[in-house]
Amino acid sequence: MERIIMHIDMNAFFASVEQQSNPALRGKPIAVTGSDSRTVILTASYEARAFGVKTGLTTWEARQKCPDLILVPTNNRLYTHVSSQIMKILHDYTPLVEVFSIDEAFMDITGSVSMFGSLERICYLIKSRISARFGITCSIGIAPNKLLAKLASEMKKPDGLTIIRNEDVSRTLEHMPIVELCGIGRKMAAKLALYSIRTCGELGRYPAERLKMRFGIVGEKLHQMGLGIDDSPVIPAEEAEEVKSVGHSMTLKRDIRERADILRYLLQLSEMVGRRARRYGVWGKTVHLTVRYADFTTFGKQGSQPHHINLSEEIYLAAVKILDSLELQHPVRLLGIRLTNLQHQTSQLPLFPEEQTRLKLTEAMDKVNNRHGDFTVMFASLLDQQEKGSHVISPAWRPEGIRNVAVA
Amino acid sequence: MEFRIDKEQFLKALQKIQGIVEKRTSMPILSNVLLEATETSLLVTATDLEVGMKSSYSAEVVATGKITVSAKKLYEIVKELPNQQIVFSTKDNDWVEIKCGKVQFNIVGLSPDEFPYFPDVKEESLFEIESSLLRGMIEKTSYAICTDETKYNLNGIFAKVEVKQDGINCLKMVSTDGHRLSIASGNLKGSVGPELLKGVILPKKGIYEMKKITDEEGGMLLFGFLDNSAVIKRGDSYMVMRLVDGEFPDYNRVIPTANNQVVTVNKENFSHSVRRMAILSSEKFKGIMLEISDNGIKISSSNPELGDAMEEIDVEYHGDPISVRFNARYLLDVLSVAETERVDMRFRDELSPSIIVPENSESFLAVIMPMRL
Amino acid sequence: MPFADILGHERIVEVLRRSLRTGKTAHSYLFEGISGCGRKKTTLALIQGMFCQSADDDACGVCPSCRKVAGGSHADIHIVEPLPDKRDISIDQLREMQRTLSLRPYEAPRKACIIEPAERMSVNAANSLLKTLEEPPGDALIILLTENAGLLLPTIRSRCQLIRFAPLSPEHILTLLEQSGMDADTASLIAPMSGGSMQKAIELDNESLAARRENVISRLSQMNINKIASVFDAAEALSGNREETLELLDLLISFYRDALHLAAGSGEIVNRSARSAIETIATRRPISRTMELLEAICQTRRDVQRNANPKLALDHLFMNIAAET
Repeated sequence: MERIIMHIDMNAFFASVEQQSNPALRGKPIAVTGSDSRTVILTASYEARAFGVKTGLTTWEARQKCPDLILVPTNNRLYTHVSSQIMKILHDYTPLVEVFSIDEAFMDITGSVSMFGSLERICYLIKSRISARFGITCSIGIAPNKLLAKLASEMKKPDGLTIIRNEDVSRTLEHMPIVELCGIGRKMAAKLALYSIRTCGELGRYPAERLKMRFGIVGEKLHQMGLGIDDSPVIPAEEAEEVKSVGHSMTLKRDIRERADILRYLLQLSEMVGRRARRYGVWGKTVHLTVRYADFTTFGKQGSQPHHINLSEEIYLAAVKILDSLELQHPVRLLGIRLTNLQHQTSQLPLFPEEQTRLKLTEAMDKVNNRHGDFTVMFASLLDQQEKGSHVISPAWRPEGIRNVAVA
Repeated sequence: MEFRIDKEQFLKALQKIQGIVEKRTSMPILSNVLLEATETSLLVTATDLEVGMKSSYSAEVVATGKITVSAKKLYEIVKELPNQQIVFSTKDNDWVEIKCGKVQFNIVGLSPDEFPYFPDVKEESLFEIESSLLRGMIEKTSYAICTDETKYNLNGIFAKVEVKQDGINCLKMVSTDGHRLSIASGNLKGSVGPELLKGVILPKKGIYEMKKITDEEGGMLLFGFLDNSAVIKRGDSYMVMRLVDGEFPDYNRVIPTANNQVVTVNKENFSHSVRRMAILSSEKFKGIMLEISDNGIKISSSNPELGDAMEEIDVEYHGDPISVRFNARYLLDVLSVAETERVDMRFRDELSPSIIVPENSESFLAVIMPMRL
Repeated sequence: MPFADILGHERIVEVLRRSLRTGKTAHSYLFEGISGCGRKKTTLALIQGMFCQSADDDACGVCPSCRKVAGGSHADIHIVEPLPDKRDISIDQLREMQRTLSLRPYEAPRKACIIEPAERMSVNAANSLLKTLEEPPGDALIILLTENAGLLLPTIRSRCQLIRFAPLSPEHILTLLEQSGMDADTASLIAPMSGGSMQKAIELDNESLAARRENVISRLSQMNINKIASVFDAAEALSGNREETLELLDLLISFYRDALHLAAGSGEIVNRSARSAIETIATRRPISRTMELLEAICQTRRDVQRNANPKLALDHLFMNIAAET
């Protein structure tokens, strides 16, 4: 059966939220920037965009284009809150909601249309509820798959509604530049340009075998993208995150690049995750590390352990191992550690004295920290193991922006 | 080469090595069996470089020589041959001809020169041990072998010979998984080399093959070490296994010496009780609880998802009251291999390792770490 | 004596032999160099030296142990490489290796393991290797071979002793090719084009080279400056990536060198089978012009090496060559 996939994209999300929360900003050119020390535009309101202010400009450049521009520092907590409220609204129309980013989501509404009457009615309901509740407009794209739905929502902004039906697919794609496709970046586009492939039409017509020869498995996928084919399902968050987990993440006060600094945060996070896991009496077999760059690109990676763990030191060593398998390209804005594949910790005691000591030490530390507050006692030695003779955490040091992600 | 051999005997010989030949194909020669016809007998050898087996069978040798052929295919062929004498001969370029009655097979072999070196066993370096004793010792220790493959030095049984005060050599076998430990010992006859006085680790796979040999029949076995392998010989066949390259932890320091609270229980009754209580226990819900006092032992378990259970056993006990929790599986494993009618359980306190030994026996000792109360 | 057979890496051999002599071999080595430059040969020589009882710092090369090592059938060498139909080395292969290494050696004094190409280990495999490198079971020697150590996890690099192998010199390749039974003419033609890799030299050998030579000659003879398309077609057909273009230019250099020899009355040419075509080149233009062209080809080669666009560089060169016909 043909699927009906919807992609919904909040227009100028950060800026809109700011304008809605501060009426003085409405109707004016504003831009949300990084917190004070940063000087890059994260989002500009449509009023500011009219002047050519766009994401990525420095504030100085932006002011050149629009002298009256109002700069507003970012307020992540507020955006996260609004985003989660909006996602809740979306869930009223189908359980199949895939949160794609803070201001975007995919929905599979194949089964919902008959319940709500028509496609257009669902779109109207969603748009009006979001607008009434938050005063934010959104662009909606509807198509037979995620690839095209995303493309459709991009076609009309702000406050758009674009439907690509099966019969429209080839006509829509014929002259569509390939960079518009989600998943084809500038680098890939440059490579494809060497084969004089610039539009989706050209990509679709290019012989699949030759794409495959040049790009491997990706070539196959490219060919399909050129034809507007995409079988990937909408994966609801609950399914993706079905496993119970214990996790923490922290947004860093400044973007960090140095390994030693990252390790310090990882140690803190490991201790937080470990302590919480121990308090709940669980241990996990998989450790996930999440990294977010300053531009909000977020990615994560996981590692399986030979047995279940919940000691901070074990979690830390596992996280460092994952970190070392990544190549960080930009400064880091946020770090997160999550322990999954959880099981109730057995209360079986170890036989050998060295393991007993390790357990007792952790218990003693937890006790002190429970009584006197977090991080009264910490492992300084662990850091030294990784970075010889460097960076002992000062007792006064506190992590910033701790946010509990999920404990189940 | 050419030899004639009875079908049933050849089949038995090939069957014995099927478990050993290499299933992976990293070295093709390892999936072959080496057949050597000597003046008097046929030698059948197989190895996967971890465990190897070489046996000698009586055969009518027409021409001496050796060849290797696929162990699996040869076994399948011989299995389906009529019940008559088999004539096995080699042709040029490592081809093999097998004739049996009116049946003829030509299969291709591999040069015996490629077959890995197989240690030559000198009998004088081996000592004698009773087959049933060795089997018992393996049973009493193999259950506690660690299953975490990354702890490779615990993935086997530690074997060591201790010379007792009366001059008798005593073989000790030890295994542990970090939560429990098991030690079995037995006397042996003959001299032992320095290797065994220091101790070696026998790998899991080798132990299972060794157990198979002890399962076959009673009598005496020869057991010993050469190069980096352990050797076990029975009659005309012997098996070698490569030893684990690692240090076994010093286990003596985890055997408690001051466990003065002793309670003796009837093994059968106690195992039944534990098994009953275990129905409602799981690792998650802290195993089963033993409360020992003058009145007897109260065994209980509870499971928030299911309910709880309790049972009392009468025992003689005059020490201080003590409560201790165990993983029921650990207790049952020990009880199932203890051979006496009654066993002693020795405790110190609720968080220290406990000992279980058969009553009046020094051949077996198990240490179990309790669970948190 | 296996170490004596290794050409062109005298310093490395000396370092390894000294470590054998003093019993101070590292637990893990990372051999970096282009494939075909002698990394594997050195690896095997090191292992032979370690296993063979005949000398402190070398091997006899003839005992059963040495022969098994050389023949790839020694039970104490574990080779980890991508499975036939796979691109990467999987974690299962690493686990298998770890299990094997956990046992004592079969017959040698130590166990050895070769991972090649190390950069093809999957992320999980590489992570799993880290643990083995941290605590090698027993006395295992682990040697990783790679073309580019930079592609490995830094944590793996830092746990291995890194030894860099330079490409072989053309002279060494020549010697090795002749030792392998190649006739001196072919060998001297191939050696400079092999980029210091025996593997590549062998690939260049024989038919493929002859076929390529013919192809080049036929393209060159069809070029006509009045039909500019024929020039660009030739450049298009003969250019490839940088490596392939350099190879082509090496071939052209050898043609024009031969042409000079013929023009000067010397019969000492390398491309004997193409003699008539080369005579055409030699007689078509004055010797000074041939020398200019040779210089132009050499210049193009330098340009391509310095990152000029191969196709454009060839367009230019071929127009220059075609202008003379």
